[in-house]
Amino acid sequence: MPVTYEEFADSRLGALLRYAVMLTGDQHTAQDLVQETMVRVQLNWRRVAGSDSPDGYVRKMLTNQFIDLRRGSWLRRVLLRAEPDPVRAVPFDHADETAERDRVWGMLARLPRQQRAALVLRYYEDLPDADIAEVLGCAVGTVRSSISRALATLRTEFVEAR
Amino acid sequence: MTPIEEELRATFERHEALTPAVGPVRAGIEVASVRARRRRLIRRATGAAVAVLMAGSAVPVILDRWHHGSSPSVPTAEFLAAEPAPAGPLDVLLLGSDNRLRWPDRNRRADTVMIIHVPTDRTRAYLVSLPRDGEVKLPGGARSKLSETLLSGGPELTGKAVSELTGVTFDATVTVDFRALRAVTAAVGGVRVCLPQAIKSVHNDKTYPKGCQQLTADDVGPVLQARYGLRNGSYDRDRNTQLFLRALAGKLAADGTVTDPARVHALFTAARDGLEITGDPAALLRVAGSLNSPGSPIGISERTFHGMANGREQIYARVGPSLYTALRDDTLAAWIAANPAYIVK
Repeated sequence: MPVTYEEFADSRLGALLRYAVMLTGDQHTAQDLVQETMVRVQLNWRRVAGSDSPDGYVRKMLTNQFIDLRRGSWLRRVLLRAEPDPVRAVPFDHADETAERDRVWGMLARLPRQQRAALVLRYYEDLPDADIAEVLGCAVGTVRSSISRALATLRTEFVEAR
Repeated sequence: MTPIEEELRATFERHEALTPAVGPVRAGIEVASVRARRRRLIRRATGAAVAVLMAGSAVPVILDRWHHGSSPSVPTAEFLAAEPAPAGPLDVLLLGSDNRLRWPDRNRRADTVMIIHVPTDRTRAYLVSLPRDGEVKLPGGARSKLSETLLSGGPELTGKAVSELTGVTFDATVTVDFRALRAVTAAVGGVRVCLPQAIKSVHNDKTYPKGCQQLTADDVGPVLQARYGLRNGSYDRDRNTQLFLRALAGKLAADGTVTDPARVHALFTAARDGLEITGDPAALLRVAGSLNSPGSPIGISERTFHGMANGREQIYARVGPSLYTALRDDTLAAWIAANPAYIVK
């Protein structure tokens, strides 16, 4: 188990970046998300290292940060009453061949973030539902219902698009 | 596995190619961390939120109302979701600076030095005052008065000296001056405090009688700075400070207006000029959000002067080791049961 921040960053940064790409669907947003999370990890390393699973703790921080992303940080939101950033438009063009190929990828961007995170955790990170519930801070039942709702949405759109 | 599930797996795998290279990200994190470290001394707006926590942890009430409140326009679960709330005990060093505006900013001493301890069980907060004239060891072995460490090395040196004395590592250090206390008092429309003895202020020539009374923003400085003429000098002043913080906490906890985010925002904004913080305010707020009795922190204070051979004051001469052990081991409740005379009434 890594003990210093440096060892943790060396061994885990790549995996965190891949995970962030799957969550955000975008290279640059993923990079920002990981950077913002890791700065906090570094500043609070004592606490992170002291948790049962530093790995899981950081994944949870990153996931929560992602779910919160659109609104900006909660401090900014509450204290400075910043206007929420506009929702990023999803480029989706049926005529475009790349878009056609990555139709599912495009649909993912339109799911609620919690649902997308649940899908990534199950189908990319291969976590059991109990662990997904832990990361998202909700009940196992909630995880299953968001995944099945997300799959239903994807299925409908997938069929309609054909 | 259904077709859509297979398609999902394949989609994720295909997009691994989008992953940015590790090297530049790693470098970016380092640069941003250095900047964040520098910045955290002057994170005033967020530090102001912590001052409210310091003032007896009224914030949990606010968070709680927002969390369970019926109004859909206020933040709900996401409010606390940015990180898991830290578990385990939390120790914050609170410094009340005597900085007055007419003096250069660096010319300040600590009037009040207080450890705020939040136990793992999150029942309530404890406030442990340290006598400001007590002797502390500095890194390197030199000795100094506790109050003067703020002048010679800023909040960081004071924190190191208190850590050296007690063995407690602090999660954050918060420095508050009278501008912040004035502003918060004004914002809540005054605080009702029950003084254990009369105060004849040398600052505004007013006399504050023994007993309960409403203090306005103008009264906060004179009352909390008063030391001369009190039976036990600065020990009584430490107790008055604790009484004030507790009264403020009670007011914020009971006052329905704190459930109004606009009002809370105004409070934070009002206090920000008088605040400095090291540490992560967001984590502190999340801990505050988990307290059971936010309005009633327990105060602990030294009772009287104990001199050392060199004439300087010894901090907690009788009970120091057991008190510091209780802080480190998170057993303050038991310590208080064994040493009730140190509780601020």
